[in-house]
Amino acid sequence: MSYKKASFVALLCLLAVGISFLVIASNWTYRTSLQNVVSPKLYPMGLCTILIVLCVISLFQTWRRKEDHVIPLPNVKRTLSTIGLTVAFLLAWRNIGYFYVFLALYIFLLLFVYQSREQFRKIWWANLIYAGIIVGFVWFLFDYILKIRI
Amino acid sequence: MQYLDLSTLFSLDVLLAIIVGTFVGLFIGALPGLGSQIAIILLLPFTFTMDPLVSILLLLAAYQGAEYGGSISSIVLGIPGTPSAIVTVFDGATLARQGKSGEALGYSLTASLIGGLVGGLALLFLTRPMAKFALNFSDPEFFLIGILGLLAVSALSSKDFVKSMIFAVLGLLVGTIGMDMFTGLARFTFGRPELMSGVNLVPVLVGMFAFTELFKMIDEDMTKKFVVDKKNVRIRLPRTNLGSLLKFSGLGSLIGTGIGIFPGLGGGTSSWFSYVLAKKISKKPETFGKGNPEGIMAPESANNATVGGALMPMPTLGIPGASSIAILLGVFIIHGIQPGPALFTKEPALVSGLLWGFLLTSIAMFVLGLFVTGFFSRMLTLPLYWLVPVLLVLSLLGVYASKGMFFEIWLSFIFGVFCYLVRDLDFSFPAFVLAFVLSPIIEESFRRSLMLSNGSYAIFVQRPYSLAILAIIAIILAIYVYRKLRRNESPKEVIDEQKPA
Repeated sequence: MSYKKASFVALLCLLAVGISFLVIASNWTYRTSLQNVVSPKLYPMGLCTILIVLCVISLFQTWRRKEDHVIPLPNVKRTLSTIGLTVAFLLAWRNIGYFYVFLALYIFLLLFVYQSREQFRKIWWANLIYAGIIVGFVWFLFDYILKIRI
Repeated sequence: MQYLDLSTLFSLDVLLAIIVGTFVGLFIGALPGLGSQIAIILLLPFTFTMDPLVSILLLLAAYQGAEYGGSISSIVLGIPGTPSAIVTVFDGATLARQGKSGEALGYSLTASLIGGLVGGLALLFLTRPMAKFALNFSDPEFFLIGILGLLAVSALSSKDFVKSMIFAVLGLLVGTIGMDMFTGLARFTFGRPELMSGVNLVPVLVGMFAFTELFKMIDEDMTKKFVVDKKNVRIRLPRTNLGSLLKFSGLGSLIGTGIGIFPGLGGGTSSWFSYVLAKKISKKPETFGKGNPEGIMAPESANNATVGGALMPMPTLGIPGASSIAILLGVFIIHGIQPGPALFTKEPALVSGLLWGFLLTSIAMFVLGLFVTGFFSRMLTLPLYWLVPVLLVLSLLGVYASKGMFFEIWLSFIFGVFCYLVRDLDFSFPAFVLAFVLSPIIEESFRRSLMLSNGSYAIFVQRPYSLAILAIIAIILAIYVYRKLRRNESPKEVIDEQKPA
């Protein structure tokens, strides 16, 4: 991924945030019985304006920048798999329940993603035990010690 | 004699918190790539139900422990555990390669203790005069100090000042989400009741630091196994040449304490600075980088002394000196305590406990370090694929544990993915955290100042204190412009400057 291109995308996203927040803030209406109160719009609108100006300056600086370099993403598939598994785990926990069952499965699948196929085949039983130990530790820490019902 | 009130300190809760915090800090700090921030963030969700002093000392102990823990992997593996332990690699890892890991770890632990104690004593004796002086400040000054802190962090924490400022402003903006404190207006809540009380600190921190760091680890070779010389990792305290070593440790401690006070500089800068200075005053500068203990003592003392220095502006001015301290400031606010000069009169027992407790965290780090360093050194052989799932699960559940809201897990995770995507683009995460934590204080001071002056902005330039702070802001901006112009003139010099060695 090119540094310049990635910077452009990020800055444009932040610029969009600044503009939309500015539009939202400018449409606020409020009532107050306090005298002499400074508008609650003033500070956020000021920040949005500064954000927009800074994004424009940075976009210009990035455009003028001569040198560029590649940002290495050596194992992007593994990171995407982690993100996907985490989203799936959260959805299952939220919508189906059975937290500890899905947690064990989540950890086991993470280990599957992180280890080489050969390694996983060799120590799949150790991974299973490890997932069980982590589930036990989570139960002990959150449920037993901290009394948080998950 | 509230100054010497130690009654709150020697309770089971406090002592247990210090031991647990130190243990977690040592463990997380020892792992390559994970620093004090992660240690604090992982413990943060558990502090909400605790007494304020217990929670603060738990996190401070973790901070201190992680600063020393970072040197374990620096010495044993030659890979710095924390950014401030980078310098320790030069002489520490070289000594380890000579089969003297235990000695190098001993130098590091002793230096960390001295640094922690000097930082703690400075904290103990300087915060009260500082707080007394700060009582002269009112809303316009607090607003300007907040801006000064943000500018300093933005200017120092990234190569790109404008991008740093963008994240600082974004942090301030995220800090405005929720109900307005003066009028009750719901701002940027998008109809979500979960956002009415604002964005919680925990999901932001876990997303920004823990998830981003974990994704970075996942990006690396996770099957890589580190090799450790298991025979020689038993810690050996220095017994010879103590006078000279103490001199270098003292030097590092003073530099660390001084640098820590300035927002944005932190342990990395202080350890580099003290290493360079130690090399200059050493009788054997040619042995630096070849296993000279002085090259371990000075930076290791400096990075632990920085913790005390960085803590100093927090209870006195309400401004943190480092992003890890910004998290502590957030803990104060979560417990309904507003840091600032008034804290000394409103919560004297808490302040005494905090100041004396800081010294205890240094001692705990030393004692625990003696016993667990060897064990943690051997544990560094643990491959990343075992470690990442545990940290990922603890981060997710830590967010849930803080308020029991599922919404916050999503918020934190999405935030983490965003930060992972922009992590190499020179945006400053410390500037964001500092801005986010300071946002309510800055806005309140700004609006109260304007209310006092009937909307006149002249209030920010009328008092001598305000003018002095404005002058410092102008100096920081002038230094930035000067450096920028110099860089444009000689691009090669910049490249050399950015290489810390």
